[in-house]
Order: sequence, then structure tokens, then C-alpha cells
Amino acid sequence: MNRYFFYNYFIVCFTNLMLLIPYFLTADRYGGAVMSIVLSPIFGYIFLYMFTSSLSKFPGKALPEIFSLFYPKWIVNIVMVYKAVLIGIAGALVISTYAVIITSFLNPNANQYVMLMLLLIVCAYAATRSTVSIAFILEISLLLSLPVIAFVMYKTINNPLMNWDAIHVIANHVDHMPTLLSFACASFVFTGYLNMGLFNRILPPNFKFKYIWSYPIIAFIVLVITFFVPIGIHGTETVSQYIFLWSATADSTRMMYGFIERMLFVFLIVLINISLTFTMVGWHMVIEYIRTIIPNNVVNPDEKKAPLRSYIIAGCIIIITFVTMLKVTDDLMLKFTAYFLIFRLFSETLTTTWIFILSRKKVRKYEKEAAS
Amino acid sequence: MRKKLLLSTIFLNIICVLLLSGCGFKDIDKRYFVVGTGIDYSGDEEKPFRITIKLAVPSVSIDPGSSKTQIESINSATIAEGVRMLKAQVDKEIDFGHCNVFLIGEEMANRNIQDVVYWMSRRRDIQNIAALGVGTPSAEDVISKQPTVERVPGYSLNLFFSNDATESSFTYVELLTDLFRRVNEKGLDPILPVVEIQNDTSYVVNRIALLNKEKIILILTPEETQLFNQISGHLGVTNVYGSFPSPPYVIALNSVKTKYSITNEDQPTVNMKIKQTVTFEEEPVNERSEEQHKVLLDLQQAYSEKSQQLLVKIQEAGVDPIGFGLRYRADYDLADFDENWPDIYKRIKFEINTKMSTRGSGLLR
Repeated sequence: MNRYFFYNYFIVCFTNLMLLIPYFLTADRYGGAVMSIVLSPIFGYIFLYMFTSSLSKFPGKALPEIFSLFYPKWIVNIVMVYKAVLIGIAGALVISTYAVIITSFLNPNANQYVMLMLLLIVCAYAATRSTVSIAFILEISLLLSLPVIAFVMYKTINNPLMNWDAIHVIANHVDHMPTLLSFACASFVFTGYLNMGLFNRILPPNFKFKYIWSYPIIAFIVLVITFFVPIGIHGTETVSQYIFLWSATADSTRMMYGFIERMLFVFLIVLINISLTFTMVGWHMVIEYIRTIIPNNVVNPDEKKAPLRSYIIAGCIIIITFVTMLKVTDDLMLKFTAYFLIFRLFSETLTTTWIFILSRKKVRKYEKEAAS
Repeated sequence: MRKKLLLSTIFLNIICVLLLSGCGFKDIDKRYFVVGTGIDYSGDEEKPFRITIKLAVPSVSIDPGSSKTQIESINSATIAEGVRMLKAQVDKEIDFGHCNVFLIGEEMANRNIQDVVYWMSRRRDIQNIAALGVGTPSAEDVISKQPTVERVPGYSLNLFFSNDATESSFTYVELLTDLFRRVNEKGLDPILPVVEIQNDTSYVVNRIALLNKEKIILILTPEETQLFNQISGHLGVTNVYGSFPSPPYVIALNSVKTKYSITNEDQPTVNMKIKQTVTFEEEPVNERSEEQHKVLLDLQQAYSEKSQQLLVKIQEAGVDPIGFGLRYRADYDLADFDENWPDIYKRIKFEINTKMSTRGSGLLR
């Protein structure tokens, strides 16, 4: 069952491209970006350890159930709405960035809002499925994408345009203090563990998290590749000119004997896979969190039929996202993404610490009961 | 239940069909594929850009010489506007997605290439792996030339810049990503291959133009171009390294490895080590292999001298296509690169050490 934790962790790790994290990091390449990248796995590992060790104190319980062990209903409701909004925004940002990418690379004549609506409907419908189904979809989609991701990374690193001097120049700037935004960006890659706040429900009671030390290491390698490979290909200056940095990087590789000469299209297909899956998982968490607020909720991770309330919540997500995106321009979205990433850093630090403290409380309670 | 399912499926399909009609997708027979683009300086200050595009005309037969193309040109104030105006001259949608060759006219390249490069990088349908070159005497002349042996429209020029067909040690292939990088990078200057017309029927690509960030500073001769390609490691991609003539000997290079480091003393020096494995292609009649060792020493000396002359020539022109500046930035902390580097580069001395090892003297003793 540890593999379901692996999938949840790495779907977030790979989605960093869609939240424009390479863009923000390279904008700060002469500043604190390198130091943030170096520091973030340590930070990521500590929080990963705190969160997983606390979850193992509450087997089979998701965040709403854990909070309601300790607090009255109304506090739990507020916390859950807050968490749901935060996760929902991440999904909405990813899916609308993808709509922009589709209209700018694949089909420029298409109406962006029609594209967005189609993507929204697909994601929201998938999100209403049961938690177990979501875990299976996640597994299939990630297993299908991983070989292609590995192929794209391998091809780009082996690109003859790769210039190691440029990477060396940027790596020399390791002695700068990290800025808030670049640290928030770098640490986002390591926050996949938060999905377990819901997916803990499907884990068996005697479950043990294994090999958690290896997760930040792999994620760190992914982060280093996403940051340094574009610099090697586009150079130290030009790298900041691109918005969709990795699309431009994938487009710079020629596949002489492939079916398609431009690697861009292969890359976009993986990207759609990853971002749809990420949004599906995120919005599923939103639906499950909001459902706990509504009275008479039945928690069943393997339900046969989705209840009406799931559909209603999914419909609300679609409407809210769509109406917001009607007003938002590309520039505004960039700014908003930056603020979101920073806010998320603080919020997740708080949540993790909170859960950790609650788990210690529970341990102490048991010790007291055992003593008396 | 089944009826309900069927109805809902039909309903969903209808919705999908309604949505799809809005996509504005154009069929392949309603499109013109651009197979070559040239951008020239028109000589008119008001409308400085002269844009030439070569459109592929689909043809039933693929015999040598049967490729048909249509050439359209226009003068305009900006490139984007020019392309838009060209659309009014043809009956189908113009698609740059398959255009692999973009030529900049020599006159344009002597003025400023930045507008062109930025326009190309900004456009989404122009591939980042498209090849660029300088067209002499003008891009329009080169683009509108129809080689007599061409089978597929516009393919001849395309093959020059792909590694599928001809692999020449004289041809430098510059891709859009690389050019855009070099236009902005501190300590790495742009290079463009020069495309000429030979005998009015075919192309020659055997020289390179070295640019500062904006315009051509120096054009190398074919011999220098080959030497440059060998030193800069550009040929490693194709495994074709060319030769080194030093009469009465000609050696073919089987592999070249170049390494260099820069010292940061009063007299900054580039220490370049070139390692080669070679085969003799031409040597005087009746020469025996006993003397090869001595000959090889002379050849090493000659190669080092030639390379040094080339590097000094490039240095005196004030351009840095190999990227010594970038290496210097990587190795040493330079407070203000743009301010200090030109002085350092002017003072740099080149020390080149060539080591050749021979695999034999060909099929003859």
C-alpha cells in the first residue's frame, strides 16, 4: 500500500511545471533560487516525517475525523472549508494554466473558455468518484506517464545544446539568502504528503510508512532537473524570457528518428495527463472535505454510487472556477500564483505542526490512561 | 435503465458535437505549408522588412525536379504585420509549423537581427528546432531558387541543416533555441551559417558569419569554418570531423576532443588541449610509415598554429562565439561582466596544445 503514498507524493512533485515554479525560480536565479533549492529538501523531509508519523497515530482517519476528535463541530467546519478552498485553488490554477497552454500551442483557433470548460467537466466528474477509485486512476495515469517523463528528461539532458558552463554560473550563486517566493516555490515540490490527509482513509489499520527518506531525495532530483536543465539549454539570460519554460525546453530537442520530430507534442500529452490527474485528486479532496460539513454525511472510501451532494459540490467548483477565469488575464494569474504559493507555504507549515501536536496529545492521553 | 443510458449517451454526444464546431479547425487541404522563410532589409526606412515565404504546392508525382512551390513576398513595417498581409495574397491558411529553414538576408544581418529572432521565438507555431542562416546576396534570392533535382517542395535546403542527409564538416547548423540564447547570453555570441547559391541551381553552405549581439562582424572562409567547427566541438553531434590539409599531407580526423581552461593571472591565458585521432588521407608517393611519427609532430605544430591564428582573428574582431566569457564567468567572480570582460578578452593569450594519435596510413603502407 506504500505505493499509493508514492503516487500521491509524486503527482504533486511533477505538477510543479504547471504552477509555473520553474518560471518563478529562474526569475530569481541570481538571487536566492539555488539556496532555496538546496534548503527545501531538508524542510520537506522534516515536515514529511512529522505528518506521516502523526497520521500513523490515527489509522484510517482523514483530517476531518482527526480534528473532530479534539474540537467542536464548528471549528472543524471552518478548518475544513479553509483547507478545501486552498486545495481547490491549486487545482483551478493548474487546469486554467493548461487551458492557456492548449490554446497557445495545440489549437490557437480554439476558444480558450470552451477548452477550459471541457477540462473542468472532465476533472470535476472524475473527482466525484470514490476515494478508492481515485487512488486507482492516479496509479494508472502516473504509471503511464512516468516512462514518458523519464524519456523527455533523458532526451533533454542529452541535448547537444546543453551548456554546462551556464549551469556552473548559476550554481555559483548558491551563497545568496533565499527569498520567500523562491523558497515557497522550491518547497512546493515536497508537499505531496498533504494528500495523505484524505487518502489515509484507504490505508489499512496496521499500515507503516516505509522508505520515506527516499521521497525527498527523488523529489530533489526532479527539482534540480526542472531548474537547471532549462538553464543549460537556454543560457543564463534567455531562460527568464520564457513563460512556459519547459514547453520551450522540450521544443528544443529534435527527435530525428521519432514519429514526430518535435518533442513538444509528446511532452504536452504527458503534461495534460499529469495536470488532469492532479486536479482530479485535488478536487476530490475538496469534495470530501466539504461533504463532512453537511450533516448526515456517510464516510465510505469505497462507495458504489456517488451521492447527490458530491455532484452539487463538483458543480459549484466548475462554476466558481469558470466565472473567476472569465475575468482573469494571464498576467494576473501569474501574480496570483505567486501569492498563492507563498500563502500555501505558511498554511501547510501550520497544518502539519498542528496535526503533529494533536498526535502527541493523543499519545499522552493513552499513556495517562494506561498509567491510571 | 438501458433506455435511459442510451438517451443520455446520445444527449452527451450532441453536446460534444455542438462544442466541437467552435474550434475552428482547418483541414490539411485548406492550408499552405511554408517550407522556407526569408527576411531581408528592403532598403525602405518606412517598411524595412521584406518577407519572402516559399509555399509548398502539393503534387501527385515525387520525381526529381517535380517539386512545385509558390513564392510570395511583401514589404512591411513589422514582421508580424507582413505575415498577416501575406495571408491576403494566398487562398489558404499559412502554416509555419513545418518550416525548418529561416534565412536572414545579408543586408539585414549587417544591420540588426534581434527583431527577427524575437519575433520567431515569440510565435508559437515556429519550431524552436528550426535552423537559421544568412542568405547571400539576399534571403529572397536564396529562398526563391528552385533546385532542379528537388523531389519534395523546399526539401533541399531543409536537408542541408538536418543531420539525415549531408553531413559536412563545413556546415554549421544553428537552431533557433541556440541563436536566441546567444543573442542574450553574456559571454557567448551568435553564429550563423552563410547560404549561397551555386551555378544558379544549388546551394552552398560552407562559411559562417560571426555576430556580436546585433550584426555580422566577421565572415570566416571555408577552411577557417571547418577549423572552427572542429575546435568548438560542434561536429561531435554528427561524428563527421573533416580533415586538416597541410601540404603535402592531408589527414582525416576520426575524433576531436577539445578541452580548455582559463587562468586568471595578470596575463589571462586560455589553455586549450585538442586531442585527435587521425588517419592519413594523402601523403607523398613512396613514403614509409617509419617517418610518420616525425610527420605527426609537425602536423600537431601546424594545427596548433592554425587554430591559434583563427582564435586570435576572432578575438581581434571582438566576438566570442566559443564562449570563453561564459567559462570565465563560471570560474571567476566578475563584478560587472559587461564592463570588464571586453578588456580581459582583448588581453587573453591562447596556448594551444594539439595531440594527434594515428590509427594508420589508410589502405597503403
